[in-house]
Amino acid sequence: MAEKIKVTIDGTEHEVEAGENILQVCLDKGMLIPHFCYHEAMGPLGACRLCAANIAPAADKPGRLEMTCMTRASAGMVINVNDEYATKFRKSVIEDLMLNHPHDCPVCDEGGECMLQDMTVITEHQHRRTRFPKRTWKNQYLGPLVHHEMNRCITCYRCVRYYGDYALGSDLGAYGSRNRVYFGRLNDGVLESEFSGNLIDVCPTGVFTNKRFREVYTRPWDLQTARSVCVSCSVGCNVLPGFRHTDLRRIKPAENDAVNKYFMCDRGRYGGEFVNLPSRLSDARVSGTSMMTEDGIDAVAAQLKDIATKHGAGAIAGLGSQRASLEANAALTAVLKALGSDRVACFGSQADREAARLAASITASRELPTPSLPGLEKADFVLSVGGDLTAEAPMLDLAIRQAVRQKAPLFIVSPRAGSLDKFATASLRTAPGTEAGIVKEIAAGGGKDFVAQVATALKSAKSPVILCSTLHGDAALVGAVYQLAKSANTADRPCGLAYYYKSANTAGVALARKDESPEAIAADAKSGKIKALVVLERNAAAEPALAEAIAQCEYVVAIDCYENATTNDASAVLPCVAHYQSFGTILNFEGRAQHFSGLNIPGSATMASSEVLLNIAERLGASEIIQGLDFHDVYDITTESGKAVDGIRTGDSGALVKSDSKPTAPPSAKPASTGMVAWHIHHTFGSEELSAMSPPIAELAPAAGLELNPEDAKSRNLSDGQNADLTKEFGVSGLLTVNAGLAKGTLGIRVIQTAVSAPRKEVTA
Amino acid sequence: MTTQKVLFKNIDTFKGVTPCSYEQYVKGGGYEGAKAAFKKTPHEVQQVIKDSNLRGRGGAGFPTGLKWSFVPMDNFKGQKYLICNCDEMEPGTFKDRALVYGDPHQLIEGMLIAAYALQMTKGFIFIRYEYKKGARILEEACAEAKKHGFLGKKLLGTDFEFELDVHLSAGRYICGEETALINSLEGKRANPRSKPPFPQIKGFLGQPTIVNNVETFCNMPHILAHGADWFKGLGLNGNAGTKIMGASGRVKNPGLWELPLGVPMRDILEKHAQGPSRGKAFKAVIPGGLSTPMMTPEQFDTPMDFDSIAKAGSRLGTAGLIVFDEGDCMVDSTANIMKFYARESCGFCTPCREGIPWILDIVRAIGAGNGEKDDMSILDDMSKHIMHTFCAFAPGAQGPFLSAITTFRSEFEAFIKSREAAAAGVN
Amino acid sequence: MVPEHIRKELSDHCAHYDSRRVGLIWVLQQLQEYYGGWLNDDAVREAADIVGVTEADAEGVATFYNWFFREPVGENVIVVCDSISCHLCGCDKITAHLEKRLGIKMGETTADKKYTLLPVVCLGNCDKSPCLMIGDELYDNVTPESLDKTLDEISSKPKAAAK
Repeated sequence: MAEKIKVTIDGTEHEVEAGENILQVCLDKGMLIPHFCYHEAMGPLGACRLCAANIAPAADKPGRLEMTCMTRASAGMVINVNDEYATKFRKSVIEDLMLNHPHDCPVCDEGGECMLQDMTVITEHQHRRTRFPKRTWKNQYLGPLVHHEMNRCITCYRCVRYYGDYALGSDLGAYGSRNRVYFGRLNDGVLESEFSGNLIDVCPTGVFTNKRFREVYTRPWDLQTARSVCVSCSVGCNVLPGFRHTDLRRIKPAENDAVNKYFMCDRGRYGGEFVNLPSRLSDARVSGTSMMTEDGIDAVAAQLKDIATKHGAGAIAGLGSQRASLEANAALTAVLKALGSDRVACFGSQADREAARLAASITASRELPTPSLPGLEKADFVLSVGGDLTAEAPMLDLAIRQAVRQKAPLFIVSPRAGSLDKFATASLRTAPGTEAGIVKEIAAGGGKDFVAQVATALKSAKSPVILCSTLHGDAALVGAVYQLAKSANTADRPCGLAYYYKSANTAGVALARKDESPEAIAADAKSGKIKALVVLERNAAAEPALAEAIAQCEYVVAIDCYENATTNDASAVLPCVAHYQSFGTILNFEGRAQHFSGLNIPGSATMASSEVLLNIAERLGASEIIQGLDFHDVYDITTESGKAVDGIRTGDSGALVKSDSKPTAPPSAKPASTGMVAWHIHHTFGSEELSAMSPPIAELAPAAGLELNPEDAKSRNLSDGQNADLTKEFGVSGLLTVNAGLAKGTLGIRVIQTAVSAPRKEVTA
Repeated sequence: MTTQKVLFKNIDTFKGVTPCSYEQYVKGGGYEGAKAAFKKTPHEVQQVIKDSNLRGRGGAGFPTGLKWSFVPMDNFKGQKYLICNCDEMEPGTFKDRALVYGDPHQLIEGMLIAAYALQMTKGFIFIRYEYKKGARILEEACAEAKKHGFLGKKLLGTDFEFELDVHLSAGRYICGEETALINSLEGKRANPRSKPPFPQIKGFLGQPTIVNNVETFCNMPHILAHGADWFKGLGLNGNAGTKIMGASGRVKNPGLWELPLGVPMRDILEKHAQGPSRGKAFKAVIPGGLSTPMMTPEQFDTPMDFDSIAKAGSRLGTAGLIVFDEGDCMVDSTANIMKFYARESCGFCTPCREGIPWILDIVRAIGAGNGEKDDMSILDDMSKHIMHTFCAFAPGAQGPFLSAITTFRSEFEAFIKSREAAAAGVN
Repeated sequence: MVPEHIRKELSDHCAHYDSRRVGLIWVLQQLQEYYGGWLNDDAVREAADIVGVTEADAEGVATFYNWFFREPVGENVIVVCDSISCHLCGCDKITAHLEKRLGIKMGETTADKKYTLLPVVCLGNCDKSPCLMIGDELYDNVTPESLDKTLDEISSKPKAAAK
């Protein structure tokens, strides 16, 4: 803890930490000193010269004009922001910047939330004294996400400092010199970084703007916004979705110091447009007849009651959702309970279920520290196991990049090289299912080469973290990583452990007290034992383990926000609002419970899925069950402080949940396969269900297909770009990519969600 | 007053500069300074430099011994770097060219002494692109020095090693700023770095680094060979050493002369440069390369040393006099001067990047008869404004600019008035 | 692409430094010479790849310095000093003469790709103003007459064999 000292700012004494950045001090205290190049995430630069103030080392010493961002607090320092000369100087800097800035505010997409506008007003620069021509530039095509308008540039260097220095992107630079500095790519082309959208926020003016947002004219002040949490992965970035009329126009990150701070990934930022799809559901549909949601609820409640009466309570089961809130999933159990059933399956396979539940229980036991995003940034050793962080939990990747920038060694054990591998100290490519063995070797100490290198680095680290994917259904790996972290964790040297998951609330449903394997439910549905399935926000018909069951089950109720394979074939469809219009609580990878809220938007459904379900339960006469519905009964959690999870409010930093039960014993590793093992390749763009439907994300998604290591391809006489028929060997065929970055013995299957082509069925009432 | 030739012992710029060979150099006492240095401890060599009162010859005149004293020494085990700044691009300055083209071994010996004193085992000579031939001369001289045991490993019977590379710059005035030079040498855009940390602590590749000017290094062999007191005796009025002084512009005999530090400016103008070139009286002198404020004839008796010139309101800089006569239009000259700064600004910070081109636009407009009545007040504002930049580049530009619009304000005003008069139909 | 042996030579040179990046400017200089005096997009990417920096970094450096050309230049690049001493000594006349003789403006290249005309900051030769450089050669106290003689000589020389 740094020493507390006193400084005087504009005549008022403030207590600050010695060495603190003066500009940040002032901003924290609500004094808005004009500034451009300074950004808290990137630190001071000293280039824009706007944050000037008169600073004296002591009251009896003469002050002089200094940049507050470049000045560190020392005892007795006197800072005069309102000094006459400093005020004049700041105005003069704005005058400089406005010499070449176009006066296009009325048509600029940044207008209304433009830092340059704000600073110009604050410094009271009103009169243009120059009479010379302005410089002009050609703009670049930067892909479907970010629009480029160089004439507005004020050369603050924020973009390159963010994109290159912070996010470690390689294709955006500062070119040229003097008053002709250009920020862009070497040539036109799609920005390569998965975090390019943050350029829009870091750019203080309208050089980088949201290409999707500007497509339909909207002013930022015309947007309706309720703070929410991103639904595109398990990181749980806080967001501000902006709606205009009936549509979601954009998503911006909402600051949350405990989670995503200032930034978010492109999948999250641009993945929300599924909300606007024409296949968005607004009416209920029962046996092909469109009706009001209320009427649909009546019909469904009656039908379910009828089945329960006819076939007994065991004839009804629920399929829970990893992308729906804790509340919605709890409401599903309430409906089932009202019908006398307790059969729910939230996962796609038993393997996924085991892995996620084990990981979530380890996390919630709080035996080991779970690093938050800011915590990950400070790690001095990172081991990433089993998955591709950039694709499966993008913002974890961005946090790891910060650790890498601070020279933390990064080790990756996974079947396939991803974006993060180029920053790794060492990567080990190994076939799926073999990772657990390697982790055990590391834990055992000794070993050689990679294993020894990791073990040695782990030993000397002061704040190590280990990250593990649960997206590939490897519970043995989850267990092995837990053992490794436990062995490395001591009182004076805590070892952080984080698991990440498939969907926004996987970690939440993984802590459900009641959850069974989908295979068991599928079997009973196929055998006819189960007559009715209530499917909550989930395209179960597209899941291999459940597709047949859905097709064969007598009565399927689908509750969702958009039309998909499941709603298409369902006996009854009940519409719910999409995530960004909905409310509830979800658990992110840390087991952080975060509440999100939403808005009622015309042209869509009116109820959250939790409300739809509670309405059904009510119709079933289960008001007692609803009254007594307690999170703690449904999920094995309380908050760390012992309070109920239900009390969390939107915009809080959330609360880490805690479970009283100890993690279950991990299953022993499956014997290593001697043949080829299939592995699902997740991509940042196109693999996650909801965001994949968003047009800009769909545009960036790679084609579906198969991947093989060059050796495996050669031994099968297959070559790159060919349509490979591996039906005999693996039951799949597809366009083959030969990838040297894929481990030998791995059949890579690209998970690319295809947009649902089925149009809304024309129905007549 | 007789001038002892020290740095120019082997160089006669008026006869055409050819590189002094290794043999010639040694015959004239070359590498004796290095030999003397290696008989001392590194600390003792540093002390000699400190005692000599040698001040940096790159323009700022910072005491070399003091600059060196911040370099971590005994307990520091990492790599340290020695860099010679031969990015001579200051208009009106052409002394380093003569020193490099004329006597490359003198520079190498100076660097060897500094390297030993600071225990820096790797060095670079950062030379501007246009001195490509000089770079070749230096490379050849380095090979020769290596052959004779003055570069490489196990130097002069010690375990000390010194590896010296010649880096040919890709051309940019800002590279003369030491932190920009370091960035450039690292293969980056030559934007200056913030100080602190100072290069002595965290410089090239984050390691302790010293950057000294060519002429500064060239003095060292002589200081080590003859002692600090001898060096101090070379200058006038308590100034240490000689200085290569130059004159260009409106003088009859432009050139370079090695003169005692502290010689009156008038001596250079009238004795060495032989007075005005076209019979018109001198009007102004920029004393130390372009980035120093103008001085006027009544100040010509000012001694050419750091403190005296500073007292007269300018800076000694590189001691390359740029001379204007009564026939020169100061508006036109100011436009030329500001064009240089606008073109060479690195583009990093706002007042320099945007402010100087604006100044240039206004001065050009005034010169073209398009001045407006508020222009002088904008120029006054801007002359203060450009002082608060990230590095010393724009304050350097302010030197000649502010003195021009102050001293020769009537010329600017006359242009503006004549336009107003023309607009009003009066002539 | 440069041949493998040159690529290796460039790469090895970078390895000589304590950080490979130190070699970037040198590598760009060599590539510029190899590619006939200017750097095309591929050359910038190649330099980035050889040195091990991002293409944005390489382009940032290639566009910062005065002596990297990102568009084709003539066989002879003429740089005329236009800083203060040469300005006082009449460099404008020299520039005007060159523009007239070559039929191009400052910053342009002749149609026959023989000459490119550029301004340059102080050449450090102020006692011999006005001065200019053609290629690596420095010319002192230039007059329109001496310049004509020089250009006549250069023009009569056969074109250097392309690399």
